[in-house]
Amino acid sequence: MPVVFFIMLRFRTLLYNSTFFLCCFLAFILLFESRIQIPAWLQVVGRMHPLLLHFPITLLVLYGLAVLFFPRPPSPNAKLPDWTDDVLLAGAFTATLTALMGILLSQEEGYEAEMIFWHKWTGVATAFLSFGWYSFRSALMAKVLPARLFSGVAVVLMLATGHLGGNLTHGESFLISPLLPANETESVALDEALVFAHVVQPILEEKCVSCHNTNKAKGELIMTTAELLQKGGKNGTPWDTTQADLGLLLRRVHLAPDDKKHMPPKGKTQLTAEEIQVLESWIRRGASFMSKVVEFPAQDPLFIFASNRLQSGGAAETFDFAAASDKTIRELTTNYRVITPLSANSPGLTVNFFNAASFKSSDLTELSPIKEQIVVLDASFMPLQDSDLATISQFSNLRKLVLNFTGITGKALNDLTKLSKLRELSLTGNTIQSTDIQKLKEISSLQRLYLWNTAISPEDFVKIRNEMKNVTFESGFRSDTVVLQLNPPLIETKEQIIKGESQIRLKHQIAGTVIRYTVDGTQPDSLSSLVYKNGIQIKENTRLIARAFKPGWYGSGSVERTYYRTTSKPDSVQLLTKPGQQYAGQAGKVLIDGVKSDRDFKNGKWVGFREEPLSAMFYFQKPISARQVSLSMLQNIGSSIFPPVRLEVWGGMEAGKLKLLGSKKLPIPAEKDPRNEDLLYEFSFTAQPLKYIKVIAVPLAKLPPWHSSKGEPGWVFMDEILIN
Amino acid sequence: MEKNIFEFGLNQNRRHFLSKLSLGLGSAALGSLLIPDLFKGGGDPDSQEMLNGLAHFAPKAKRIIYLFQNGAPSQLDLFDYKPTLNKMQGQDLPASIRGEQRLTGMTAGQATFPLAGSAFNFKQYGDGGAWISELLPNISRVANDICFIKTIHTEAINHDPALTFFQTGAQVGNRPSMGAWLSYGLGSENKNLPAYCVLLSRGKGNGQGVYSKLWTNGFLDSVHQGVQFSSGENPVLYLNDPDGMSQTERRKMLDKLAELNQSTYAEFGDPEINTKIQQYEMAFRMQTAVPEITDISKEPESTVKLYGPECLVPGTYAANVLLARKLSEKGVRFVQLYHQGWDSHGNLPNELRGQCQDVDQASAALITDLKQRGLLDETLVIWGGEFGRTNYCQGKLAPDNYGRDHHPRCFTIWMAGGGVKPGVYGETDEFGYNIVKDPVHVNDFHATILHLMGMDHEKLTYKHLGRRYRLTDVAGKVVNGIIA
Repeated sequence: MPVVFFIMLRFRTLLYNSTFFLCCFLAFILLFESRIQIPAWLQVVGRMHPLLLHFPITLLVLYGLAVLFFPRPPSPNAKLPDWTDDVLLAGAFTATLTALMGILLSQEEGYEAEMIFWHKWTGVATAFLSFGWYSFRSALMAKVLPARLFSGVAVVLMLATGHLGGNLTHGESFLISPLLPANETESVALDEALVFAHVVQPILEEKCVSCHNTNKAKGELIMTTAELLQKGGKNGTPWDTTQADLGLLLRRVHLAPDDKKHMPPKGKTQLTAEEIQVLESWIRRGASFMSKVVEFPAQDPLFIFASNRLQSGGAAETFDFAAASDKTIRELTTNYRVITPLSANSPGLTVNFFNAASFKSSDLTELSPIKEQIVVLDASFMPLQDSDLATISQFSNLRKLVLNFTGITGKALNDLTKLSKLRELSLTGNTIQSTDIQKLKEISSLQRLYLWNTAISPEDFVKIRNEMKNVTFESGFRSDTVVLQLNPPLIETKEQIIKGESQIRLKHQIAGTVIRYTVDGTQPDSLSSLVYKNGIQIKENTRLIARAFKPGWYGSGSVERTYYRTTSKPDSVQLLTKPGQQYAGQAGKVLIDGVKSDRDFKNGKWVGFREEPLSAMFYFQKPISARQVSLSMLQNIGSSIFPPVRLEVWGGMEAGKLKLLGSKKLPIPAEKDPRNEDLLYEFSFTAQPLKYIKVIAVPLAKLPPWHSSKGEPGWVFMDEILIN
Repeated sequence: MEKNIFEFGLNQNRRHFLSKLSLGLGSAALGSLLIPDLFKGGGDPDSQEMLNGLAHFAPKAKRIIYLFQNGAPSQLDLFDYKPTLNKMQGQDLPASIRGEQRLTGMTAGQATFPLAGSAFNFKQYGDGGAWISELLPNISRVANDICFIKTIHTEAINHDPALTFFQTGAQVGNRPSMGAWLSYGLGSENKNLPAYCVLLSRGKGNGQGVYSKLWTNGFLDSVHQGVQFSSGENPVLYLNDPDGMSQTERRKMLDKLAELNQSTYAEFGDPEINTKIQQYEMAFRMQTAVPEITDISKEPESTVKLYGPECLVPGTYAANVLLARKLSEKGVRFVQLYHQGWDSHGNLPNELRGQCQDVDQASAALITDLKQRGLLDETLVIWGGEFGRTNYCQGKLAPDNYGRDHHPRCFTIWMAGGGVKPGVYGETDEFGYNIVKDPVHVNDFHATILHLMGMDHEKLTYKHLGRRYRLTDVAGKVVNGIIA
């Protein structure tokens, strides 16, 4: 007997200490709740919460009842029977453990914070209270009335916790639902929600039906069903859209709250301002019972009300399959096959393929561990075989499948009929025939089909649209009837000075376009002008004009560019006179650099003269044979750059014995002449050997009277000499 | 009884105390095992949350293409039809309408504010009856897919702060851009391309600059920075291996480089080093991914006709829109375009005509194209500028020529696809100066976009300098009225 007693004592101490430990643990967990992550094995412990909770309820209630109802023994030293202490200890222990498990369980997803709040804190309170109860039982239980009061509170708290917990598990009104009329409204997505059933009716049910139902039909009006509501009551139909106030219902709603006829009557829950707006908007738009919420404009109060109600963040589709493990998803994800959950809490997966070059059919078959979970699959541009569709058809929960430009033919499409949940299918860019589409009729869930760029003709579309009324077809943009103007060809050869036999290249980005060009300054046309092939060789300085043509398009606008031909480059140059200070052009070197400068005369690529005539000597180490010299010059009237009044080109084999090869006297431009342009002066002569060429250009001595700087000397600017 | 309590007190000895204490400590120690980062020191709960890169809830849109019309297109000449302005042409803007509005330095000194009606004709299009100007015939045709928000308003009155506000949620620089936030929150869909790409083009109208601070990662990790594509023939420069460098050699070199970087990382622990390693790896994969995308020669002719032949000329708006579609189709989370030239302070009718010619066909084509590929419902297209333009004329008002200054109080932005509800949202007064109904602040706009992408804008945070930052900072409401 003493041994048994000793063991009992040890056991009690152990149990008591364990309870204390668990209380501390519980307090700690509560303190750091937001940062806790529960490992899987602890989740299992947490999930035993619903099992264990029955113990503390029984034990604590038992002890409480003992305190409440045990007949008080006559002697002041008498105590409750011994077993009650053990009951309380066991109750405290299991209560604490249960609370702890409950916290662990609450960390899992799927519990609404608001609902769990009271259950959690009453549970925690019960745990701590029961521990305190046991620890201080002798003090607490010393007097009858406080003891009974305390026990009563504890039992009530216990029961409240249990009830709240029951609500969590079984639903809010589980306990009394058999007593309530059944009015389950299922949650519905905004896209499908009906105005009456999902927006208006819930308002009526909440605020009106308690007095206007089949049992209690005040004013003979029953608002429980659409038919009875339309019928109205003894005062007539509830609405009339021809009246300014929209009829009886709204008239009564809008009466002053103190008015006897105001609805809902004083003392009952009133309609909110938004709810009134909703009713108003619904009635104004004809009080339709079948129209959908989405048919209302976006800023309509009814639409806003509905979108706030029906779509709280994630009112998305819920799936009836379990999530795949993170590990599996990680293992199957590669750089070219990306698997992502639809959202953090969703078991549904999206699979995207990238990089056609690395795609293999096995990339699809490898997905079999997650074949249940794949909801969206996008394999656009991957080189699929028809046989791959059989693999895809095993992904039984697919909602959306995108197979754009995958090279599949329509032959294997009947494999897809196994996808009984498929809603969207995109087959854009594949050689699908309209007969292939017939096979898809079997998928009753199908809502949208994307068939742009397939082999289906517009006539066939009309036919299949009629045959499959439940499906929206996207046939996409057809270009055959659209005629646009082509863009002009691109000139690839930007450099304007063409050396010797080099070729000028043109291109157009649209395949099959014909480029036609002229070299005589006329506009190219689509019939007679030269056709560009692989490059254009020029024999002389040329103005090239090009346009693009293609059947089914209007011809393009034209592009043009002047090219200068040169065959020999002088080996050195010497300026014989002094150029303008900023326009020395590297002591004339720019004249033989083989680059045509743009018209920005300050860019250092030009030589400019004003005080003295331009005079430059060009040398060749070996004699060349030449028949033409061209000078590229500039006119910029605003900056006083005029054509030279006189040009001379001299040449010969010895510096002292030069012959005049050609000269020009040039007119002064009239006021209306173009202000800013490139000038080119050509001097042709009989072909002869040359070692020296000298060029003289005389600037205008006095600018004409119409010029803003009249009377001052003009400039001449030259950037290149070209020798053929 | 008292004796009991006394005895109880005597029993509480040191051993008792210590044994209880050890129990308490033990329980805390056990509990601490459940907190993975308790002893890691400075563990950032935000980055922990964000590592998943998952949407908070099921998203409506997966990707965004933002066609930013830089310089602020005139809503009064494109979408917000105000015949009153034509009737009152030349009369002064009533002071009661202007209120206390702060004006820019460009018109603050004007003695009068003559109302200027639009020189263009409007018609209603689509089921929503949206008014659209004759300058946008192609956009008019796809009006049924578009949600016009006529009541966007901002706080800034000058380009740079306004642009920065739209892009980063704050008027001063240094905050992460919208694309960077999305990259941070949702990660990259295609690991072979940046999550955030930027394309620039320029129209002939009066232009305003764009700067790389608009696509900055701010204080976020630099992997989230926008990658600007070049507007030349090669959108990504220096992507090809130089002559004589084979893929295997390149691979070897990158491996060695990564080793070196790893050892530096081990020494200094700078997270930017890790970023660099990742960027090199991505660039390597981009060598195969990018040519696949930028090669437009394989586009069917119907695509060229859809976007207009300019789409084949690199650097044009049309070419950028086509490229944006291709990038988006390949899983780029956020493609941001900027088209410059909308800042019509003067000569508005002419400049606007040119700008609309640049953008109308390609913008509409994008919607059609996404739709026919089954991508419109998961791609959000946004079109709009940084603010609106005034209803009064800047400078001299001529019958066929006028200009408009900056106007922050109301302007129109449109969106399509990605879970928005087509139609017209919001209403401005008959002068087009103030909002009458359903205002949408820039913060609300951001909150709504994040919502469409499956993100709660209040939960997408990053802790920096001791406080948590959001794209919407401390404001923003989701505009449910535009969500389908």
